Amino acid sequence: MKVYLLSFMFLFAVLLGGCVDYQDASGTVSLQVAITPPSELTGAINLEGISVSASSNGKQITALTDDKGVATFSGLVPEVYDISTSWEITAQQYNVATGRSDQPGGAIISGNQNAYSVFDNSNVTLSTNIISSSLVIGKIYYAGSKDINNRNYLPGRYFEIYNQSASAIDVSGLYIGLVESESTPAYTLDNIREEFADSVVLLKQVFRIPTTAPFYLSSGGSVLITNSAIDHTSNSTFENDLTGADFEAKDASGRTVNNPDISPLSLIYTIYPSISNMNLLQSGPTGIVIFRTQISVENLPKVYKYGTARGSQWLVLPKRYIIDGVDVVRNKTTGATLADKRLSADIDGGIIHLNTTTGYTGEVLVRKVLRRENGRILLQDTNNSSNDFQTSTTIKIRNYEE
Amino acid sequence: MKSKLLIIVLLSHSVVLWSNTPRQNILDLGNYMFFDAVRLWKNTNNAAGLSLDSLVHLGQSAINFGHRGGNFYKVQEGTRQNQFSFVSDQYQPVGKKLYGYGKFEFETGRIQERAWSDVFRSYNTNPYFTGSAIPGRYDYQNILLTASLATLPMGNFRYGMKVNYLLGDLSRLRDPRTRSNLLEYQLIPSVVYSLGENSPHHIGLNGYYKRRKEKIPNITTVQTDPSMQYYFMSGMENALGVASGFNGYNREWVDHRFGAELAYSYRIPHYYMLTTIGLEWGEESVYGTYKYEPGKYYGYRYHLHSQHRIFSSGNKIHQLDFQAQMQQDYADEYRQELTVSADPLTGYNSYHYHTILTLKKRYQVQTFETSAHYRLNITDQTSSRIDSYLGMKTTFVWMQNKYLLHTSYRKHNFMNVMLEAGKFLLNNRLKIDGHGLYHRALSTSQHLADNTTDYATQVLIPDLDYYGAHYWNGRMNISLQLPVTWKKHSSMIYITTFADYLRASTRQHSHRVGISLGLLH
Repeated sequence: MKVYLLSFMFLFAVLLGGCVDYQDASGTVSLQVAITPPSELTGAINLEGISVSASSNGKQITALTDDKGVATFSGLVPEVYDISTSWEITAQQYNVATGRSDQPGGAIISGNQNAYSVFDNSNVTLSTNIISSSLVIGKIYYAGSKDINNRNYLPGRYFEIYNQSASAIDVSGLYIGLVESESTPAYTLDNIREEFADSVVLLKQVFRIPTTAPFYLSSGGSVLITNSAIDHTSNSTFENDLTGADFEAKDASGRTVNNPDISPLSLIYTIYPSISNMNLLQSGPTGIVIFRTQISVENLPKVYKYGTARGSQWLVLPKRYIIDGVDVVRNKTTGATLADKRLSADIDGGIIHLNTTTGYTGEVLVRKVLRRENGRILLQDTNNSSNDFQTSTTIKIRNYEE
Repeated sequence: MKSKLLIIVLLSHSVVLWSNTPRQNILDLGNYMFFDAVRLWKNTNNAAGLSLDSLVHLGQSAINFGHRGGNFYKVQEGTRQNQFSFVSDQYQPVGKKLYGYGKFEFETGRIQERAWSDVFRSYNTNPYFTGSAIPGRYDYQNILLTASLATLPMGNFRYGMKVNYLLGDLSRLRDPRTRSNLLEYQLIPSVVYSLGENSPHHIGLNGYYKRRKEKIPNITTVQTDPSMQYYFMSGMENALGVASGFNGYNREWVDHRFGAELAYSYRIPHYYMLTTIGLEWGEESVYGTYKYEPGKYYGYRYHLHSQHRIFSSGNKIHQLDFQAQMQQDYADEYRQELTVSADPLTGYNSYHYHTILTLKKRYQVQTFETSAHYRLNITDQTSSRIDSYLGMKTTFVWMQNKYLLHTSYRKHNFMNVMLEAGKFLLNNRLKIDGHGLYHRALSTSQHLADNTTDYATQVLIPDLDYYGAHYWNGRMNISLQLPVTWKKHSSMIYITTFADYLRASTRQHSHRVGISLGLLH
């Protein structure tokens, strides 16, 4: 009996040695990011000391480049990272590097690499571009809120276009495009690459600031555009008094209260037969682009959903006319996904979304303040909404700081 | 509630004291305790050994009410609990060649002020569960069925089969309202080989497959608060809170496990011994919408159980049990990407998550528990029943939860020393038994890579006080049993009340009270 018992004890000891080896658990890795300057910068340019960031799950870590323009991240958690960089160069540096003087305020150089999988020690080359936008989309309020009766309240939504430049800009004739926003993309970026060589954006609605008279936007000023230019503050603390809005998308059906004193936006195109104002989805996606062109936008091509020949048709806008775009996607319980991107990286290198999955939280997407210059605010524009935008429930209209 | 229980107890006591019915020779709690002590194979998964233990026809049925309260509890346990259950089991020969055991258990209850876990298992288990930070009321209902069948000896072999079946329902009664459905079943074929017709040596072997599926198909809300957060856990303090995260939510946990157990039994008239070692391994998949997987959980369990019964001096049974079990689990964490593809012919969209990154063994669970239990049972000289007992048990437990990149961990080990005793009084009408236990937290340590997360501040850090506390615990059971005859069939009914009190070094306490009404048959 003792033999049997001892055998059992021995077997158990062997089992206790463990079937699991914890030593092969994943460990940290390193990432080296080499910056390549824009092709326009043919002259000498210093790439040392530039901040490169790697972001994942809302957390961001940064590293500085060495004299070769290489930033090294050590002790990195294996993850899927959005890698980006941006830095400013002065007008003089721009002149030295390009031989041109068309950027009197200097320029921003920016580069993005989204969803880069870092599983082992890795090296990546980050190409960059010169970003020079005078007009940017500064703020988008599409979430709506709950009113004092805890009911959904959507009429107070708006967005703003901000003038970054040092001089006033006539924004009359500027087009506003609302990007296609089906629950599954009508065209994925791969489909656009396949059929249009990555050269277009699909729009569901297009509006235009009237050309009947110039509308000068002062330096550091905002154009406020809304569906309902009334005072919404009595309905919810998240809402604003929009009676001072610059333009209003009129609701032909009369369901939304409009302000006859506010200039109407011109409706150029809509896929919705019964919706004449801006169809901003409270949970997203709600991408917006602003563009200028001399061609007849109404006559631009239209397409059905990829692979179909019936149903709604989206307007196909060549990207080269776009001044600025923001890729607003829907947040999900599994996290916002790049699979929902509608805008290619050269328009918006990232994505932005609400903290909620459903809207009605009073959240507004606000472009971050870069700095103050000569009394006006310069907003951050690295061509990457993931870095450039933040959410807020307290920032009000025409303000960009808490 | 407590006053009503007291009235019931006093009334039942007075009925017994006034009764002049002579006690008949029918099985009672003492007999049940005796057969419980000497039947060793029932404490294993090997059903074939049941016919080695005993072929007695015995069972009991009872309804139980219980209440738990106090302020010494972990965050995910809830503050109070009321429970009702009905249990019935029976050992009996089946035909001429089989011996069987069956058990049915139904329990229902309500847990108050529970938070941060909407699933059945919250500790030392799969880290990919979900929950709300808002304390709420939970109702649960579980049904457990167990059936075992063993053959009488067929040559030197005995064969057996055991089936376990568990249905569970856990519902949260406050926004966000989850409802978790559980189904678990286990099939355990077994065999016992005797080394000769009258040999004292027996070798047993069983294997099993266990499948467990828990599912929360959706979450409903009565209020419409879009800012209400729902949390998705991934190990230690890592819990992602998503506003309105309950919208479009669905998740299921599917666990497949295999196991094997080897047993050796030595049985002579004055000494019974049964030692088993076992191994279990399996993996649990977690699925969300479109089969999204946050990760996969792997588990290994090992156990050793050695039981000894020494019969001496005609009326003493020395009961000695050693147990050791070890758990080694880990979770691989995934990073997945959603691809949407449209079929140009049908226009249908296909959604598919594929894994682009795997973080191996990012979450690890290790536990070890060992115990030694000695009990001296004094039996009735004239029948197979236990009249009184005295015992002692020591337990040592070590556990560790760890999350890598960046490293967070909690380590905890403790020891329990328990003294127990029980005796039948008043012509075996009254049984009083109980235990006193001292729990000593030997060491508790916790390091969190980020101690500012909601899960860290509201669960892990408060629970550390619980793990680090020493406490005293005492429990007393009082049972009254009396014979009843119905249609010429005699049985024994009993009423048991119990009270359990725990006092911790943190000046917190918890208590449990309950009452059972049962029938032996």
